[in-house]
Amino acid sequence: MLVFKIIGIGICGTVLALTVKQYRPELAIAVPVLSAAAILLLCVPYLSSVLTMFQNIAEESGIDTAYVKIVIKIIGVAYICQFASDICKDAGESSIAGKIELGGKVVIITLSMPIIYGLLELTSKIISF
Amino acid sequence: MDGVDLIFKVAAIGILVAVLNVLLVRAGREDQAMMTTIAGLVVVLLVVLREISELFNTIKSLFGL
Repeated sequence: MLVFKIIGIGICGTVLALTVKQYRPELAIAVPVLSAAAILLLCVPYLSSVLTMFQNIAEESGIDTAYVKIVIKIIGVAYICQFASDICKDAGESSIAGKIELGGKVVIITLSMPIIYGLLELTSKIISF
Repeated sequence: MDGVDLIFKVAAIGILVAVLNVLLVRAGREDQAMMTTIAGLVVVLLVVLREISELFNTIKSLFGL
């Protein structure tokens, strides 16, 4: 099962990170980054099947595919920003992690602008009847 | 599965550099000890860089970013 593989990688990464941290603190940041990347790469095929299912459902239910694409992009941005900010927090740089999250929020807001405009148009149309 | 092997490789490099460092310092060659530390750091960063770029490319293609 995928879960056991992920847990195994996570625990091995933590143990190795601790051992390396004693001897070479500057190399100790590489091990968590690599284990996080390995786990993410393991999840990617499952994630792509979920996303295609999500798109099919949206197409059948008649939702505008542009909005669904934006939602998927926002999920991707959130996914990556979480990955990067957790790594920075691991290394002890919580201020950099906060800035990465701020940047991610800004990107998500700009990505979601068309949706907000669409919503406003819809409501104004409804109210104007 | 290549990601998992990389973790062990990087950990092995880290411990190897630490051992080499102690040996060289004990042998009285501090400058070479510094060299091996920097060399180990560069190798590890290159490995991490390649793995992260592969991750970002898959995420980019997956989410259409």
